[in-house]
Amino acid sequence: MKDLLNRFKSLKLVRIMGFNRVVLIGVIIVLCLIFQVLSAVLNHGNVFLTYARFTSAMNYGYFIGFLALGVTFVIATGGIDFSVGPVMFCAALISGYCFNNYGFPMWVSLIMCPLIGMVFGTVGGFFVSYLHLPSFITSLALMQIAKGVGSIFTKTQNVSWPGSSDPGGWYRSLSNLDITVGGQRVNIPTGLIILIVVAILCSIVLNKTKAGRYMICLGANREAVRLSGVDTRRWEMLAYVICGTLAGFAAIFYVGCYTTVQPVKGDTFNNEAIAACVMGGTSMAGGLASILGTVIGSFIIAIMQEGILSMGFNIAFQYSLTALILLGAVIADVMSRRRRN
Amino acid sequence: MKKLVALVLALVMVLGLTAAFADDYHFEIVSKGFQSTYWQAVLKGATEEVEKINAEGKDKITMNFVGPDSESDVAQQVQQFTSALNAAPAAIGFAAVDQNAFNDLLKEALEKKIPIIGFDSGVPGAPEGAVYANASTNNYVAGTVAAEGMWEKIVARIEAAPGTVRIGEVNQDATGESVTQRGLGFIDKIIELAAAKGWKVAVIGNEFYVNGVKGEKAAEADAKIIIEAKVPAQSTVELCANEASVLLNEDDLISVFGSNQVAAEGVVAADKNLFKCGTGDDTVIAVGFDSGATLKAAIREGVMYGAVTQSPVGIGKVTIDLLLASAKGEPVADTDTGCAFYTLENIDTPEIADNLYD
Amino acid sequence: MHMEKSTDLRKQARSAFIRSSAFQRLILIAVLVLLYGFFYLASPSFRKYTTLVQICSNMYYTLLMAIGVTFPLITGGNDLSMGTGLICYSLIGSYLMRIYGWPLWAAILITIGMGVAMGAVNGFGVAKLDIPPFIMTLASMMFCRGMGSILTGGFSGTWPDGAEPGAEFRNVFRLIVKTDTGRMPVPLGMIWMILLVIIMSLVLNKTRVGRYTIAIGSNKEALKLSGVNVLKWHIFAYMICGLFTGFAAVTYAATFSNITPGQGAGFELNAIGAAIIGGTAMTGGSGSVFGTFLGVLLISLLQVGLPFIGLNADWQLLITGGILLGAVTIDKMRNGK
Repeated sequence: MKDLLNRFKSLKLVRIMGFNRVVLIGVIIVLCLIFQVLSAVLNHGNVFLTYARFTSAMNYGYFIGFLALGVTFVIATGGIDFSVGPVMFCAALISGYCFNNYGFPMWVSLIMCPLIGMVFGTVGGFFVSYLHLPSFITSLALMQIAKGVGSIFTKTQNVSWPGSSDPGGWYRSLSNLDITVGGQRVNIPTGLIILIVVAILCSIVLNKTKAGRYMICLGANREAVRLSGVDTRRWEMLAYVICGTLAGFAAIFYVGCYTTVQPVKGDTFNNEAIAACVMGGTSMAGGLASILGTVIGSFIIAIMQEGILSMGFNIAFQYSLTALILLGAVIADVMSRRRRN
Repeated sequence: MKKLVALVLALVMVLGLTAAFADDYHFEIVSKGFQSTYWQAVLKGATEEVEKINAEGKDKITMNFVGPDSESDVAQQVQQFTSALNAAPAAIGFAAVDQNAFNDLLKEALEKKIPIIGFDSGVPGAPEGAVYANASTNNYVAGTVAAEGMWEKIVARIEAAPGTVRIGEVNQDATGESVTQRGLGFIDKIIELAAAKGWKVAVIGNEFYVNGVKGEKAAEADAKIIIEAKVPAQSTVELCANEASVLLNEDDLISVFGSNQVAAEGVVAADKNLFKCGTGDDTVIAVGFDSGATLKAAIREGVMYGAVTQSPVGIGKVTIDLLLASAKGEPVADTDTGCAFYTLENIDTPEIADNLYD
Repeated sequence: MHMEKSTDLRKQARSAFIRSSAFQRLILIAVLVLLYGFFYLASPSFRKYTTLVQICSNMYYTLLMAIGVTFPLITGGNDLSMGTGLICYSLIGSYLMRIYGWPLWAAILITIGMGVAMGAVNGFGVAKLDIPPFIMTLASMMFCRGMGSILTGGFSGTWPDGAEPGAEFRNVFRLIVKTDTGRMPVPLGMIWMILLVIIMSLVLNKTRVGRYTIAIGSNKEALKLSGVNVLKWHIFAYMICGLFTGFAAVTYAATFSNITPGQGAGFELNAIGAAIIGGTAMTGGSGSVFGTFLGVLLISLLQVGLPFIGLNADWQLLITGGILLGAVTIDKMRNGK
């Protein structure tokens, strides 16, 4: 058994992607099979593995994916960001409100989203890297502030972005493009393409640029970096700025699929984004980050949600199951690190 | 590995065959969730009707009744509705938490020729032809019923009052169709009843309600009656209670309306510290909505004067009937499931008691 | 020279005092008094006695959670599962009473017991398995969020209210006293809370549990080397938090009666924020139960007072966030850490 495991680990593909990631992909495959069988058995012959369910699952996965990508940068530096969900909502609320009530053109509203996220990221990053406040509290406080700002701006009203046939509704094709092929309506998951492109960009920034390498070093051994005399503050702040910008960017995909945003909501998405990130192998202790793992983690969460609905289970199972998978991933990670040491 | 795949495929094929042979009608019902016990009553009505029809033996119905965690979880309900569509049911019952998020999905249902039956507040603003019929309460009318019930009790006090009087309204939100329609209906009716007596009414508080009122509003200085509409930041009982406290602390308040179960429970919770509400002439007359253990207890103790009940069990029953009819291709029409004002006097009568729940 | 020396000493003493957490609590008390005065002047309706009662009853369950979480915070960890946990436990408690007909006292015991059990699980994960506290309690938070809803089928649950048998348990928190002018609520719960604050303060500072908790936060290695079973005491800190979450669950049920599944996420943030405003450091090693009490008082005052001046809860979020940032910044500047 151990031989088999070692031979598997030495495969080139596994070495490139990392053992953890391959295990996660295995988890996805197993989950899909389980969902397929159980949906048919428990929910009146419901078929899980259809293209429609795939695109539906992906709808949930896009914004979680962007949130998780942003959080990966922050966690790599050894910090944490609890504000991403409400910041995303705040961006969507303010930009949508401006579009609906002040007549901003759609492309302006779309650009406003990541910009608003960037503002929150900058503020948070400043407090953490220049004033050395603990990131946990700063992001908690920012979360409350984001919730408050969004709600006050829209006077506690919901904001509904335009539908696909309304003026300005073209933003929805950033998430899902519906084209007619030979009389049939086919849904192209454009959001997935954008997610993959952004993920590749993030990976390049994190792994190949100076900024990214400093971020990871900060997480791994903050004292060493400080003693080496390098001014790490702007790199740490950059991580938070990227996180905030991505959270704002995620807003575009949230409204692209779900249209309406409510004020003072969004906390649950924090948990799922962080869970996706940590599942994927990014270490909470900092210093170890995997963009690919984060993307796979987001897929797991999205597929889990869809699978549970498809089986006809109470949607609350999603939270408990995600918690268990998260724990499993972290324990495996901790065990493997212990063995290595 | 190959054996596993073969097993799975075999299972799916077998189940597919089974489905083809049964004369099953499978309905997917997407509600607004189970946050208040009202929805549990709707589920009860639907479940009982399904059992009754199955017992008759002619048609066999199965249903999957789901809802998001709370009425503000739009994303969850969109996912649930998409899942319902993908399950290819005979018909879908739907009560939308948001009027704007479902247009594309409804169009898809229309194209797939899956009938949609709206219930409770239904699906206002749906694309033409997507929703075949609605089984719901007319919420605007329900608001007016609350106003009329309250008016009977307070009109003498307003006449006798030397200065202005204040009527409060706590609305759980300014976005859901049911709550907003009830809130507006209530205010419009009060304005109408006051105008018949020659009294002017001013409306202050949450912008949405102030602007949405159809009746004629006067300035605060000229008005005999001031209606103050409050909306908390989040639709929870605690926050509704805080808003209700502010109203209850105002010395000129003579009555207050909580436009849904959560808001009414907030009024009751706030009053636990303030002891302002009651049924006497020097107390604040509280009127609530729906029922539930807390409100029923409040009415029996004399803390709450009365409330408007919908017919949740009836809504569940009628929804199933409409779903079956539309799945069979029969014509269906909107059904108003009605509402009624109840107080301590008629709370135990059969018409009212059947609709109350814990 | 004699004069210079004594001035030096006085300066040293003064700066030491300013750096101490006692000073921070003094500032907090000053802020509380100023804020109360502001609301008093700004709104006539705020001045009533009943508003004070409202501030009290608003804060019970948050205070219990905050006292509980002070312990894990001092060890350098935290507990995010309190909010969804309290909803989950009270939901299950109500289910036991309504569906299975269990008596009230049994349901209360089970509710508190579940809190302790979850605390033990959290502690085990953090102390034995070396899982970072964020992740462990994030996972238990999500787990609780799902569990309550799954076990009750998504339905909300109610605890006895009004005239129902068993509703007397609510009187533990709020006694209605009949006076000449009518009924007056006495916030009996406040007396219990103050007693608890005194007791837990003593526990933290005078007992072994407390001292080991502080030691785990400030110098775990030294404690281990001195031969103490660090694992046991570390888990114990989380179990204390779980115990108080269980208390908070019962208190929440006593105040609101109707428990909705899927709620609760976010309650713990008020509790944790209050503890930190009160002077418990995120990095561990120091903390004060009395400071936590002041922090919760501040948050409750804001929650109740803001609607009286026409600002509703979204302003309260903004202001609480700002105060939290401010408190931590001041703390940082004082300590220069």
